[in-house]
Amino acid sequence: MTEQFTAGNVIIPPSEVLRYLGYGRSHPDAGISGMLKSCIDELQSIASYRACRLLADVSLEEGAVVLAGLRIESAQLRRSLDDCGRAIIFAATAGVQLDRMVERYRLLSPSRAVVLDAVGSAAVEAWCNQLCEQWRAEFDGVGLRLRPRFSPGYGDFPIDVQRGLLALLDAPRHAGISLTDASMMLPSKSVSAVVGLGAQGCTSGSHDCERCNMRDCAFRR
Amino acid sequence: MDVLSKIHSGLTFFDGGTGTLLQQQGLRPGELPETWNILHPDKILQVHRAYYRAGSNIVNANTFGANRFKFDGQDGRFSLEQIVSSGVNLALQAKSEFDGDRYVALDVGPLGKMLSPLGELPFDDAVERFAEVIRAGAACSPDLILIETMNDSYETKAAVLAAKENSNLPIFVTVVFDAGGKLMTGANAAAMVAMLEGLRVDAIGMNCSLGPKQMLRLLPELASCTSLPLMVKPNAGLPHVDNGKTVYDVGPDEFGCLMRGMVSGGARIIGGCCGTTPEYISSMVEATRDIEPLPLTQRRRRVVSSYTHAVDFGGDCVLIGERINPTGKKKFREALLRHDIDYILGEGISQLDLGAQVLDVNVGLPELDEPKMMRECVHALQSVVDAPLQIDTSDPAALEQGLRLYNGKAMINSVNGKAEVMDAVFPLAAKYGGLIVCLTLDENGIPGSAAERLEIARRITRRAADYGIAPWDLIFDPLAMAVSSDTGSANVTLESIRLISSELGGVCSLGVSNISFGLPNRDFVTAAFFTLALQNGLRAAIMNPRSFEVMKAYRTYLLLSGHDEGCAEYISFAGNSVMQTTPISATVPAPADVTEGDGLKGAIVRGLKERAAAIAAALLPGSDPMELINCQIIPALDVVGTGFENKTMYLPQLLMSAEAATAAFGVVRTAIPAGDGSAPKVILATVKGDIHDIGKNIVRVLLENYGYQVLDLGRDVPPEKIVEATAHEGVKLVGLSALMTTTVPSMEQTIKQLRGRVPDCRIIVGGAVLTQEYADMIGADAYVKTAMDTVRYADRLFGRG
Repeated sequence: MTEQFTAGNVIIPPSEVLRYLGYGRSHPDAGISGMLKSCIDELQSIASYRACRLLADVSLEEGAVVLAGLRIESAQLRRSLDDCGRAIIFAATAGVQLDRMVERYRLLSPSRAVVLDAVGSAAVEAWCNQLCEQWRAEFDGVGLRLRPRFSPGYGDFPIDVQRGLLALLDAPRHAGISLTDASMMLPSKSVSAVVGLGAQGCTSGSHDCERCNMRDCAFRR
Repeated sequence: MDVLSKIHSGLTFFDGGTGTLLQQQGLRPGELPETWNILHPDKILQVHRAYYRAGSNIVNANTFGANRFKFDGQDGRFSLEQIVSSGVNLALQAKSEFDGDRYVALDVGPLGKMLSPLGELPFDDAVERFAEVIRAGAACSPDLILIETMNDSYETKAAVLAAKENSNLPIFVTVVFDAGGKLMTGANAAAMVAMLEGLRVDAIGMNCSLGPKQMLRLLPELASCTSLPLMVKPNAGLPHVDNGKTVYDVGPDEFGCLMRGMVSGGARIIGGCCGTTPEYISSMVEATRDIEPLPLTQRRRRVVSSYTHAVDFGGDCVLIGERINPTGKKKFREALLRHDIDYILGEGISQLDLGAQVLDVNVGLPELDEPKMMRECVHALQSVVDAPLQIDTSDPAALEQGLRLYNGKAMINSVNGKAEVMDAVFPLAAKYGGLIVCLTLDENGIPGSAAERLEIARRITRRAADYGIAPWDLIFDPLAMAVSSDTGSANVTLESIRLISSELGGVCSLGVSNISFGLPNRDFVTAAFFTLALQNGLRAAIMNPRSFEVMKAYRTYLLLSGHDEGCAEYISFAGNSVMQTTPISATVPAPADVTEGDGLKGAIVRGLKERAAAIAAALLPGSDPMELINCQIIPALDVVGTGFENKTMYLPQLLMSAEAATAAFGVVRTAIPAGDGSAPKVILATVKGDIHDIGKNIVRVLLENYGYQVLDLGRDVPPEKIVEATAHEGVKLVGLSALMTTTVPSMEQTIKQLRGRVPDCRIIVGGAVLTQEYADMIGADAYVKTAMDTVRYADRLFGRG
């Protein structure tokens, strides 16, 4: 059974927004800092944080996993779910108003559109982190640890599995998240992911660039 | 008794959830429940029987998820018709086994795809997908159609239109609110009620997502805006994980008790959604059997709505922005003719920023296909403005296109006392809903007295009633006439406002600026007349939000008449107005870390848009415009461009400077004779299937800054369209953008087609997923990693820079 989650507020770290804007370790000048702050405020006023999750049974196979009947060929996902009998499948979004706002600023101020877009990316990531923290506490009580969240498109986890995951969640109904024919998520600031639940935790952090094949990613840490 | 008589005569019970019951019987996650209509009809029958036995009057056929996207009859999948007819027939079979008031609803759920402009499913296609379901269902003769679990107002409208156009069955609609009372795509209760009552549905309500406790909190708002029977179908509370299992937190007894509260709060059609079972329904029936629902009340609300909110004409005067209209506006006219939709959108956004609450949309030009243009503009406006629109046209075909495509309940401009006009417009208003502006003129022209104008208003009201249109869906325009040609005309108009209110109970709207036609400093007269009209009860004004005098009249009137709590609106208005008159140098402190000086170049480097424009305007009288461009603007852009390439400046700065340069160009260009059209043309497009265009937009801004003429074809552009435009315009450089691996094949296809038809054209590609490797693989001439790379490539190609 799919559960729904919402949040009134998610804290967006400005440093993450700057990373998406390509600032690396550099600091922005006063003008950009001011715009960044006002973009974060503007996004918070229209963001609609929603998510849905499903607890799925996991069975592990050679180089693949089966989640709630859905077979996924991915050695890395298989490794991430090692020793897990169950997993969380979830999808989360910062909402559709952001897409409208970015489109509006395309006409008014392209620079603001770009900053808002980056704020949106940081917002949905922060929302996912907040959800996982909340769930970590929830499952601690029954002796289960959360593995790092792992999304289709990362490493060898095929992007087209996203369609199957969203169907299992009935994500259009439960979080307003759908896919276009070319497998793009709508609203655009949305994430789908799998999180293993095992007796043992995992030592690595929440997102590990080291595991990813995309060597020339602009955002690689 | 038929189902409509039933819901008007008293409490009606719906059924509960189906999914939970089927899962208990072995339905697997991800399996489509509707297939059980054919695979396990006995189990579906049992569910229906259990609900009728529990006391449900209405049972939903198992057709919620049935649509052509899921059931296309191909590759061994069931056809939509099979699924829907078997579903409705099973429910009808169960119904036949029970006595009393029992009904079957054809259950229609969302399509699971986002509609354009947010998504890619065109509105007309959505209507057709729903129409297929309605036709298949209606053929089996259910008692009603339930459109439920809708979380987007636009999709809801598509479903309702499909139902109206393909059956005569009663239509009930329930939507999904979040705890804050909004749909996922933003509409609140008042907006949904306005749209759905306009579409003449038979019952309105909410279902799913929330439990009864949360819905009880939303009920008063919903109940206070609707005049229709109110329907409520909550989940069995909210789900939570208990001992590793997901369970709902409200049991059958508590559910029954809470549903009793729902009836006291105004609900008269009640049932359950996810997690509820026959046990919940029988508890609900038991708990509410002895109480009478509240009587139905006609709210008489005079409203229009957008996809987020409703605007009520029962309070302060509503400002309707008049600027989207080619009449007497050369620039707008030219923009329309060259199909510059962005210009039109800009007009819309700026009027809202200045305080307009509704936007009038008039795109009528003799040389244009007006219905087509109306469609395009309404569609595009809905992607960036959330204010209700007023469809302004004398062409019934354009009116119908606008009303149909509009995401909400529109305002209609206009009808008048001419029988022919009323008979063309009222049927459309009755079908799509709308608040209609009624001009008090007829076949004999505009009457000279207020009494005669009142008489026409009466006649229009009677004719509207013949079409089933209520008086509160009309708003009268008693016509402001030029006071310069008849000094008594203002008095007649003002008296008409009073008469229409006192004698007819109607309210009035005016195009206020007509009054000052032919006079100098027109705004002085218009503003004073506006104040008088407000004092006489004017509820809406079609006006120019850019007119400072008119806005001043409005804000001060509201302040003085006690309609501005804490003077907040006035202070905000007056405060901003003072800012406008402060010297620019006092408002923009120069950042210490910039060394480019205070001149035009410095302003552009620092990305100060207003300042750059102001300095350009100040310099212009004594300077050669070409020198300003070549010695100030272009060098400034180069400083920033080089900084960006050297990673000492970043994307937001690059774009802010580009915007400042654009502003300065805008000023300087006024002093240069019109261009000879020699600027090289570049086509930009995001390829078919790809809906993310932020990168392409950045490239566009920079190319334009560097003097290129960019033909931006937008996003999700089919290869044929790109090829056609390239060949037709004789373009030598095409830039294609793609975000994801899934759309690279479509980029490859585009390149292939371009090579075939316009072999001498260069093609450059960019976007998040692109690499040099990909670019080589799909046969592009070059891969450009950043927007500046694109500029440099173009400069080399065209021998510039």
